[in-house]
This record gives sequence, C-alpha cells and structure tokens, in this order.
Amino acid sequence: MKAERLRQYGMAVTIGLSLLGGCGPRYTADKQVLEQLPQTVDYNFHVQPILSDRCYRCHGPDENAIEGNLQLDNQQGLFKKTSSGLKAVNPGRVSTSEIMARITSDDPDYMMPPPSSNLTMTDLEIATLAKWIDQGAEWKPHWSFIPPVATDLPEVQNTEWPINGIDYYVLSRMEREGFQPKSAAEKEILLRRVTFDLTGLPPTIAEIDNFLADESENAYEKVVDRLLSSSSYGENMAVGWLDLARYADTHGYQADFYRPHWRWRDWVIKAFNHNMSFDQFVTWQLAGDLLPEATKEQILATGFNRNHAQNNEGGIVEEEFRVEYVADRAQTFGTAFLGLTMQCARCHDHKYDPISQKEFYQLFAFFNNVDESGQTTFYQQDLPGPTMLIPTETEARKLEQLKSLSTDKKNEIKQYLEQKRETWDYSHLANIIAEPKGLLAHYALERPKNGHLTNQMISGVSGRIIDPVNSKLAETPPQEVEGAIGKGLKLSGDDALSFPGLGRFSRWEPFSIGLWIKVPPELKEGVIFHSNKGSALYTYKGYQVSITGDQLDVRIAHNFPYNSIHLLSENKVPRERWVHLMLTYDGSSTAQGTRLFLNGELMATETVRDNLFKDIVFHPEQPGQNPPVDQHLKIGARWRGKGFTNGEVDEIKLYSRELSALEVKMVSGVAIEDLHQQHKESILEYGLANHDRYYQQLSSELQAIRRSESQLIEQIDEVMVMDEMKQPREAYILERGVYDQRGEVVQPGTPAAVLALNEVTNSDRLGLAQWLFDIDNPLPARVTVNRYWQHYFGSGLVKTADDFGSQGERPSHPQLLDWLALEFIASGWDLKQLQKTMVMSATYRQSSAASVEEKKRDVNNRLLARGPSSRLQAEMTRDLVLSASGLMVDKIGGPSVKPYQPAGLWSYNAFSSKYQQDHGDDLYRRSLYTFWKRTNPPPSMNIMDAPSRSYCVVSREQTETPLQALVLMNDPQFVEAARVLGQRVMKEESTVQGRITLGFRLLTSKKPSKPQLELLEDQFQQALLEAKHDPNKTGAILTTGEYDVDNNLDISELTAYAKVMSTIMNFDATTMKR
Amino acid sequence: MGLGAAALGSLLNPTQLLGNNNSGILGAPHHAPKAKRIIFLLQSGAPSQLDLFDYKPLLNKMNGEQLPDSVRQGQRLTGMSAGQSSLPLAGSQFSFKQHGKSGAWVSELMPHTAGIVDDLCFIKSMHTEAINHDPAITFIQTGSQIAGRPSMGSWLHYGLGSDNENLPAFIVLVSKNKGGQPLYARLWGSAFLPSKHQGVPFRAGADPVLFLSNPPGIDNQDRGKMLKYLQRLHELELEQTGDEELTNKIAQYEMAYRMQTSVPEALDLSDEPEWVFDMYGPDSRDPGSFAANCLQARRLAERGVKFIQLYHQGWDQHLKLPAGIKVQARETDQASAALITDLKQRGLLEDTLVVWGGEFGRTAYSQGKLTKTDYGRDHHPNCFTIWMAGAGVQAGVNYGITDEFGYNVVSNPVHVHDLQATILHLLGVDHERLTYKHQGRYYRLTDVHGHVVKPILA
Repeated sequence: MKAERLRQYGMAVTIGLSLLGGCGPRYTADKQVLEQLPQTVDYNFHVQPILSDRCYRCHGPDENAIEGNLQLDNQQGLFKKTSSGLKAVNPGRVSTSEIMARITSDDPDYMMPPPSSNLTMTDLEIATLAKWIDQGAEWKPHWSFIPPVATDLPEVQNTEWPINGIDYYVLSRMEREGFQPKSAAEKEILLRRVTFDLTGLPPTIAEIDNFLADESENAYEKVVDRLLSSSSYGENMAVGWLDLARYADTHGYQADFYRPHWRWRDWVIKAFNHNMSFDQFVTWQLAGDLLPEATKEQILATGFNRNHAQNNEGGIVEEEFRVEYVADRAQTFGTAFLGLTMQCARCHDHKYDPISQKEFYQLFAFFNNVDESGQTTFYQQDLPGPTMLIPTETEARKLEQLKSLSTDKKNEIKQYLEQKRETWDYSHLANIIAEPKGLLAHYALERPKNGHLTNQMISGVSGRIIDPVNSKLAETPPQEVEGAIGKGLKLSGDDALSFPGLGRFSRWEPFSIGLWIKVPPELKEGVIFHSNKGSALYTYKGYQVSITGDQLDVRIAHNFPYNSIHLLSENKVPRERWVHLMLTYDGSSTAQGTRLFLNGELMATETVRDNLFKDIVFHPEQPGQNPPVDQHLKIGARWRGKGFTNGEVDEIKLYSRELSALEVKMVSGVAIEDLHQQHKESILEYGLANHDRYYQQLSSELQAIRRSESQLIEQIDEVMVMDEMKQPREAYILERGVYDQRGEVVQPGTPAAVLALNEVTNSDRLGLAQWLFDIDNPLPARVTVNRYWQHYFGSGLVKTADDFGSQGERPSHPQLLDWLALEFIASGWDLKQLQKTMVMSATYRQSSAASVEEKKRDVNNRLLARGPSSRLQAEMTRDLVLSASGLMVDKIGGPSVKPYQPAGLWSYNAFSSKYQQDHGDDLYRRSLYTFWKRTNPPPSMNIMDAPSRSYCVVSREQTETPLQALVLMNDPQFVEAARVLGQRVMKEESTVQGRITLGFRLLTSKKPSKPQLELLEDQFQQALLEAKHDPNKTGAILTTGEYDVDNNLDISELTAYAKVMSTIMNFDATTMKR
Repeated sequence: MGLGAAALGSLLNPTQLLGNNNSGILGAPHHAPKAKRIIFLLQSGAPSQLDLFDYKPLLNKMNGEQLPDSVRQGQRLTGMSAGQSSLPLAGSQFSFKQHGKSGAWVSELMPHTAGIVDDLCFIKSMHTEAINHDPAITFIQTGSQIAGRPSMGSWLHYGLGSDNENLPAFIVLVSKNKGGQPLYARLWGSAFLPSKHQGVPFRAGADPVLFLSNPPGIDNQDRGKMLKYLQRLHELELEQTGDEELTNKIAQYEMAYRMQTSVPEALDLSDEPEWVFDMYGPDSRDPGSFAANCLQARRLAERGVKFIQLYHQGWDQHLKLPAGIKVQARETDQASAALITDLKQRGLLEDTLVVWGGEFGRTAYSQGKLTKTDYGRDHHPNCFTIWMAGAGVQAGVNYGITDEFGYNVVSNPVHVHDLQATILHLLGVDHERLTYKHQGRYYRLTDVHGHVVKPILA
C-alpha cells in the first residue's frame, strides 16, 4: 500500500520495499510529506540534524555511551555493517539499510528511537532519510567545520535591487522561492532603525530633518558614516559584548559584593570606537598579558576572562569553585568564539559534536594557569587576584618618584655597608646585650591566670586564651606542661593565645616573632601563629607560620595566593622536641626579606610566591566591615582553620624590628660566648643595626619611603586581570566533571575536528588566540559575522548564534555566511566595515511592513524578504526616553551608576549594602552604565529581557508581558522622562499641535498622522481640563523624579503634556524598532 | 471598567501575555494531575532536622563524644568545621514526643505542626550534593548547583501554563526583614526559558508588584483614560498598517491594567475574618511576615495561582542553635500548620501540594564548642527532613530512615532530583518529558536524574 503511494509520488520503489520488509507498518508518507522533501537531500542540511537530534544520544560521538556498537556521527560508522548483517546505511538501497528498518518499525523492542528515549521521528524526517539513501547517501563533514568557501555572486533576475554582495545572495534565494523584496523603508523609519542599531540612541530632530532634506544619492551613506564615527557607536557595541563577556558590577554567588571592573568596560567601548580589528580585540582579551612587552592596556583587556562570577561563601571547597571558574572561561570561549557547546563535554564526551571530554579539559588547560583562589575573599575592599594597579597619572608619577627614592636609599645603604665592612672593628663585641632592641612583648606562659597571659614587659599588652569562634575566654584552660624554659602550654588546636592590640603589622614595617614549639608527631596541618581572620575566608590577609605536611609554611599576604609572599621550608619540621622558631621580616615586601630560623639557624626555604604589592592589614576605618576586624597576633588556633592541636608552645617574643641573625641566635638561647665565633658578616649586621646611628637613620629613612609607597598604593585603583603562572598548573580530565575526580593528565589542546593546534604554536592563551584566528579555523569569522547579522536583522543567518554544532540550526543562506566571513577576514577583521556592509545593503533597508499573508508565508523572516523589526532592547528603551526628554547625560565611561530603583530589592541579601541611589547626572547616564548586581539585576532591564549576566549569552530572548507595560507606565525613570519631555516641548514649541508633534517625533522619529495628532490633542485638552478642575491632582505627577520642574511654566498645562508624553512613550512606534 | 474588553475580546488571548497560556507548552499534562498548584514553603538556611523532626536519642546519650569515623566515612565537611580538632556529638536540647495516629516524632519547638502530623508526609531521608547555601538552594530550586537553569516554578509555568488570567502563574513571597542567608533572583528566574516564565515577587506594601502602582497624580480612572487613548492610538496604527502584532500590544496593556486591580484585590486581607487571623497567629496581621505570607498563599491558591513560592530566611544556626531555632520555629510553626488546616477546611488541600523544608540538613556534631547549654550545627548534605502535604501525597506517613546518629540515610533515600521528579509527577508532569532545547541539548529540571518517590503517593 505504502509502496504504491511512494511510487505514485516519484520515489524509488526500493523505499517502499524496505518499508514492507520492515518490522511493522508505521510509516505513512503521503503526498503532503513528499511534497515537502527537497529536490536533493543534503547530508548536512537535511540528514545530519535528524540523526543528531534523534540518534546521537546513543549512537553519537560519546565513546562511552555507544549502544549496539553503532556510531552514526561519522562516515565509517554510518556505512558500517551492523549486527544484523545489514549496513546501517546502504547507499542507494533503502531496503537493505538497517536504520530504515528500525525507524519505520513499531515493535517497541526493535524500533528506533526506542520509546524510553521520549524521542520520535516524523514522517517527513523518515522520508528525508529514505530519499537521501535513495539518492546515494552522500556524506560530508559537519558544515561548520568545512572552511568557508568563496563563491561568485549569484545571478539574479532583478538586477536593479541589489546594492552590495549581501543582496545578491538574499535575492537569489527569494527569487528561487518566489518572493519579492520590499521597497526601502520610509526615510524616518530607516534613519531610526540604523541610528538605534549603530548607536543605541534615537536620531535627533535635526538629524531627521537633515536626512529628510538631503536628496543626494549618498545621503544614507553619509548618515551611516556619521553614526559609525560617533562615540555612541562604541557604547552601543559594548552592550552586546557585556552580555557575551558576562560583565557585571558584583561578584555573584552568595554575598555578591561589589567589584570595580568598569575600567575593562571602558576599554571595550574605546576599542570599538577606535575600530580595533576584531582579531586584535579578542587576542588582547584572551592573552594581552602574554603579548611581548605587554602594555597596561593589553593587560587590562584580559579582564574579559575575569568577568565570571566568583564565590566567597564561607566554608566552600576551594578547588570546587576554582574549577568552576576555569570551566566558565572554557565554556565562554566555546560559545563566544567557536559557537560550540564545549561545556557539553565537561562530564563525558559531547553527545552530538565531535568534542571529546579530553578535548574539553585540553581547552580548560589554557585557562587553568591563574594563581587564583576558588574561595575569594570576604573582605569587600580586596579584589580577587590576579590584579593590576591602575594609577592615575599623578599617582604614577608619585610612585615612580618613591621607587627611585627607594632604590637610591637601598644603594646608599649598600654603599655604607660596603664601606663599613672594611672599617668595622669585628673584635668589639662588648656591647652585645642579652636582649635585642625593639622587644614589644614577651610571654613566658608561666601559669596563666583566668585565661590571661602576662606580658613580661612592664605596661605591655597582656594576652588572653580565647575561643577564636566567638573571641570569648576559652572554657577549658590549656594544659600546663614542662616548657622550654619553665612552664609551657599544650594547646587544643581550638583555643588560641590571643594578643589584642599586638602584632598588627603593615607590609612596610619590619618585625620579628619567635617562640619555642614542640610539634606533636601526628600533626599534618595546623597554624602555629598568625594575624589572619578566618584563614581562607579572608584569604590569609596578614602573616602566618603554619605546618603543612612536614613543612613550615610562611605566608605574608595581602590576598592569598596572588598578592603574597609564600615560603615553604625545605627541611622537615622536627617533632616531639622543643625547638625555637623565629620569623623575621624587613619590611621590604619581598621573599628575600622574609626569613625563618630554626634554633637560631636560617632555614632553607623554597619561594613559592614573591608577589606582595599591597598591604597586609585590614583597614578597620573603611566602610563595609562590621564589626571592624581586630587584627592581632594569635597562637595555636584560628577561626575556621586547623590549629596547633596537641602542640606545645613557650616563650613568645615579638619585636618591632627585623632581628639580625646574631640576635635570633641570642633569642633562641645560643650562649653569648659562642656568638663571638660568628662570621664577620653577622657581627657587622648586628653591629650596624644596634650601634651605628647613621645606619639606623638610613634604615628608618628607607622604612619611611616604603611606608609612603605602601600608603599610596592602597589608594590606587586595582583591576582584575589574567596573569599566567610561571609553572603551569597540571590539568586533568575530571571524571563526570567532578572537581576532585582526577583522571588522565592533559596538555593544552584544541578540538581536532575544528582544527588541531599547530605544533609551533605556544600552548598558552596566546597560542590559543593565534589558533583561533588561524586562516584555517573555519569557525570564528562565521560565528562573529553571524552575531553581528543577528544584531541588525534580529536573528542570525544561523539562528542558534551560540551553537554551530550538529544540534544547531543550519544557516538560512550558507553562501552568504561564507561570503561575509571571507570578506571580514580579507578586510583585516574590520568590524566597522563589516557592519557598514550590512546596513548599506538593500536587504537591511527594506520596509518591515508586511501583510498578514506575507508574514504567514515566512513567519520568522528567514528569507529576509522584508526589513527587520523588533522591540527595542531594555537599554535602548530607557536611553530613548532619556534622550528624547533631554535628560541624557552625555559622558562616556566611568564607574557604574545607580539610578532609581524600588526600595528594598537588595534586602533579600543581608550581606549586601543597601542600594544607595545616586543623584543628579548619574540618574541619567546611558543604561549600559547602570549598576549590575548579579543576584538581583536592575528590575526594569530584567523585565525587558536583559540576561542575568551570570554566564555568557549571545542572543537575548524577546518576550511581551504586562510587566513591561507597567515599567513604561510607572517606573519613575519613565514617568520623570515623560514630564521632562512635556517641559521640553512646552519650551521649544508654542502651539499645542507643535508641542505634541515634537514629542511624538522625539520618541518615534516620525510625525503623527492627522488622526493621531487629533487624538492626542483631545487627550491633552481633556487632561488640561481635569488638571484645572482638580487642583489636588495638578502637578502631582510632576513630583516624580529629582529633575527640577520649571516653575515658569503653567503647571496645569505641564501636567497635561506629561500625560500625553507618557501615552506616546507607551505607543508601539516608540517601543518598537521597525 | 473593563477597558474596551468587548471590542477587543475576539482579538486577544490576554493569558498568553503573562505567559499564561492556559495549557502551557505541554498542551495537556502527561497524566492526570493530583495537584493543580503548589505552595513551597522554603526554609532558607537549612533547619536542623535533629532538633525538629528526626529524633535521635543516641545523640543525647553520647553527647560530647566524638563523631565516629565509621559514621562520617570520610564525608567532606565545610571549611567552617573542617578545622575543628574535635567533632563532639550534640544531642538536641529539645524534647520530642510522638503525635497523632501516625506517631510522628516532633519536638517541642513545633507544637502546631505536631497537631497536624496526620495530614503530613515526612521525608526524613532527603539528601543533596551541595554543602554550602548558594549551591544547595540553587540546586533545590533549579536542579543545578550553578546559576543558569530555570527554577522549578518556571518549568511548571512553561509546561502547564496558568489557571488565572489576571494574576501571574508563579508568585514569590519572601518574609521581610529576616537577614540570614541571601536569596537570589535566579531562584525564581527563568534562565534560558523565555523570561515571561520567571517568578514575580509580590512584596508587602504599597507596590506589591514592581511598578504596579500608578505615579502620584494618576488614579485608576486616569490610568483607564490614558489607556483608552493609547488603545485608540494603536488602533489607528492597526488600521493604517494592518500589523496584527499591534493587537498583542493592546492586549498587553489591557492585562497590565487588569493586574493593577486584581493583584491588590488578591492581597487585600480586609475581608478575612478574625478567626482566620487567629488561626495563622498574631504575625499574620503584620504584612510581609511569614504568617501573613502563608495567608496570602492560601488566597493565591484560591485564585488558581500555579506556583506559590515562599521563602523564610534565618535557619542557619552554626552557633547558638537553641536560641536561634526557637525564634525560627515560633515564626513558622503556627502559620505553616494553619495553612494546611485552612486549605483542608476549604477543600483546597485535595488539589494543592504543600512542601516545607530547607536546602540541606545540619550536622549531628557541634560546630564550635559544645557546652551544657549551647551548641551549633554545620551544614549537612547527607540527610535532612522535609514534609509534604495535600494533593496526591499520603497523609500521616514517615518515609525514610536515618541512622542512629542522624548522619546517613539507611533506608529509602530521596535525592533532591527525586523530590523534584515527584513534585512534577503530582502536577501531572513526567519530569523526563518536560524539556527545553537550549544550546543543542534538551534540558530538564532533573538534569539526567530523578525518580518519582512512588511509595509516598496516595
């Protein structure tokens, strides 16, 4: 029966036979279905989308999830013999192709896709596969992995219409499918469209009038050139880039603190305005820090890869989130530049595209070499590293001066030392004193009373034994033991010896801390002493000496790990005996100036990090810390971290100087007579420090310079950037995507199906950028031109702008996509030229008006037989009313601003500060500068479909909801704009008609029709009447917003105009771009 | 006055604008639903199951002794207690009794809940994957620990549409002034689903929905007049251009106008009798309190709102648990129980599902020092207790058992994805078949996991 029907409609007999021979009649390919089949069935355009969506989940690229030993995603698999003896696909032979038997069966145990998959195949899909097989089953690699192919511009019948290359491709398809292009849009509509598309703003009245008056042939091109060179262009381009780059003003996650990252946004705007070539634009953002002799600007650009959310919730597992950040970078790279869903290969091989799990982690490996912390700091003032300082010119100059002063001073000291080395009297040691100078405190730990520790120094600070969880006196006193000298204390690891008011050192201050310790045999991790708060919670800010494994672990940190000094002892720490430990620090912010002594001997240490460039103290005076952090020396335990459990301590001494080696020996109990045997250098060091006034003066001068430098740097702005670790971090396949399930070690690499990494390319981010823009890479040019096409036409040539893989849509105009991509590359990745080509095309300039029938024929305008139309995006809508009313403040860049927002929205988050609304100019900046809080985005923008900015988004949704109407009617920003617009038209025009027309034009760029004008005039007269009759209401609407009401104007009239302007603001012609 | 409703009636389907396509994407549910709507009373911060419902006398016997390694089994701890040199077991300071015919154990902290245990189904064997609040609450609300997936309410809205054309189908109510662990817009966000499916927060006060209220000087009548002019303006444009999309625009404004009345009407408690307030407790007169929100939830349920999501913050008792949990219990116990009773009396419990619970549980050992009068409990993913009540769920049931330490599940574990699958099932949705293709993949609430917990179904 079916065979009959198939024959009837011109299909090969074999299809029918196969269907009869199958395992059950399910297939009813009737005339309607057959008519829909393409003439020539193309593997890429017709077949692969079906196989991918319905078969790949079990017969696709995921090597570990292949059912029945059958893979249909590659040529080999497709044409292979299956267990039944039939080939999966037998070219030309539908009846002996296993897949046909399966997909036409209705035996639940035999049919494909199986019922359990919840997937089905339509008749059209089955017929498509059949026809493809019948036509010989030609296989091709996935379309987007074939490099773009140059084609001659297609022949068209209507040779009058095309303006540039775009139009030939578009018209050719239109003609093939029996469509006609629309005529050009009316001038006002076209001007409004192109002005919004290029600058995000409406045209001014003068611009409209000029364009209307300009009848020269290149009138439109002049407009386009003007718009492309206006600075608003860069701001408008930045909006889409901020979505893609997941830019926000807060860190996201739990506490969602502020992050000043706007300088990166400024850079983006500037780069667009300068028309930086796209390959350079992206290369800087991916790898600016790795460019030879990278400039600050190039490094700033790498802030792109720090835009992702970062978590500072207390108690999280550090590695879990570090992995998340790296994965986010890899995922963003995939979506933004390759149009591939790389993240789908994070837990297993990709189900649809030829990307193995290993390849995901190879891409991950490029972004893995950042010295960062998965748990970022809870201290609001600090930015998660890596960071770069961005001094102002004045600050840079001062910093230079201080640097050179410091260098000079160090040289002076060195020279003085050289000089003294020759002349010093090394035999003269009579002046050696038992106790070095600078002692701030000494705790002998003899018999603490009521948890209090006596300072041996008169009038010194006494200590307390506390529970660091609540800073209250410990309930159980530590055990008294035989100490190194007299008695000592055995610690629980949970209670700390705490010395409030003592030991808060800045990085420019030298200090020394010594004590006797007895390390228990079993202790693997625990802090001996520190000035941190909550260890990882505040990223080890301060100093610490702890035990990590068998090593001593020294950290002097602004924000660990990036901005810190980090040393590990090379030798094992002795256990089960008293040893004297001393940390000395010279205030130089260097590893060299940080020394650890064991029993008076300098310990050999490995320098893990030597990058301390900001201060190591909390600033209690700064806002946002409640209560302020009381930073001081604590011994044996810490809040939220492991303590010196069962460790013993004794004789704690703290100095406000860097002790010389000789003095350390003295403190550690080496007898004085033995000191006489010391090496000359030690004696000199000691002698100068203690007995040479000039040397002491030089030292204190150096310290003063360091202090000034440190204090200056604390004021300098900082920005998050990328900085490659010298020793790359090992990357692994993470089994099932779980952070601690490490499998095979992987090297940086790229998906081979796209393009293998060139062997000569560096395997770092710069190498990755070079790979991306390699002429043989088939994806980035296509993906980029498609994203810009989407910007101008509402939808990409590939509708799924974020997915060029098997599951993505196929391009509507594949040759046009390739033509644009090749032109783009040939132009040197020139974005302005690319966009000019798009907006100059006849395709773009078409009228968007279409009849119901026309729209029905092509609902989504895939054929481009009419011009684009869409709702103005959130930013454009707000910027339109600001601009029309004249409120808009024309200022580029700078920190984000906080315009009107309903009260209390941020109160869902107790860690957030209150929303402090700005005033004056900051209420009227362009919307891309509106403060973006990730966990609670600006509500009006959220309602108008702006994304959350928590992850990379390359296309915005478009929905229509009544909530959007409420924003336009009632959001104070819009109400205020309406009344200020009323004020503007009253001042600029004198008649009612003139005023309404002006307002209408400012909002819609066109003049109202006669009936529209009459209607609005009627509204005005009614409103005026009401205003005059109800004095209570008059003027009330004018109280919305902070902008001054012009009291010279008639309040009743102004009230009425405000209402009319609000009506126009809600009008379709205002909110839509047509 | 219904704004031009007659004239436009044939043109519009206003429900589509709130995303309230009556049937949703599924057209019809996959199977006959037991529940038409859900009220989710999310106790943010994670209430201690050991002090409320999961009675563990062994902890009192072994109070102060170390958590045995054989029980912990290398379970990862948060960075907040991982550094403690001691993990002392902490028995609850609150006395437990069995209640009702079901004999459910409930502590003295929840006297009202104790009174309705025979209406409840306790699941004591809940477990999750995350050990911290942000990932855990994101997980229970969206099925994923990391931001980027639609919330459960958005999924249901997308799948099932709405039963009330004048109110949003997915409404969020947050107890005011609570502090504690933060909430995030993503918890009721629609992520990659169209944004019309996101939850709409209703807030206590003059402007319950953002921008619902007209500006000063514009009353309802003025707004009606303005909208008439706007409608006429659109009609003129329609006549001129024949652009059918304009009818949508007109409907959008009509719907907004109707919401301006229907939302305040739904939230206006002045028609509630005295005894209702008495039942929900004194807080119910304080707008924005949990009790007031519970009462609002009942009113919204009456009006056919599909997903009513409440949040009550403040359950994160790392320290000073006994004092903190008392406050939390006092704020939530009476109103939660009253909501069940109230729904039941009105016959609404038959087709309304109520869920009460947090994002994870709390540890059997004390975080910080255990003293005679005080202890704290850290986050615990391995087990926690929630309760469900109403449509399609067995009443008077205790499901799942934890070990004597209240540390691990020993029978009938229920993973968060199982709970999500079960909730969807009760609403007539097969969790494996409510999917959305995004970036090439068919996403669903339960990722690739989840099994309906059949034994608790009525």
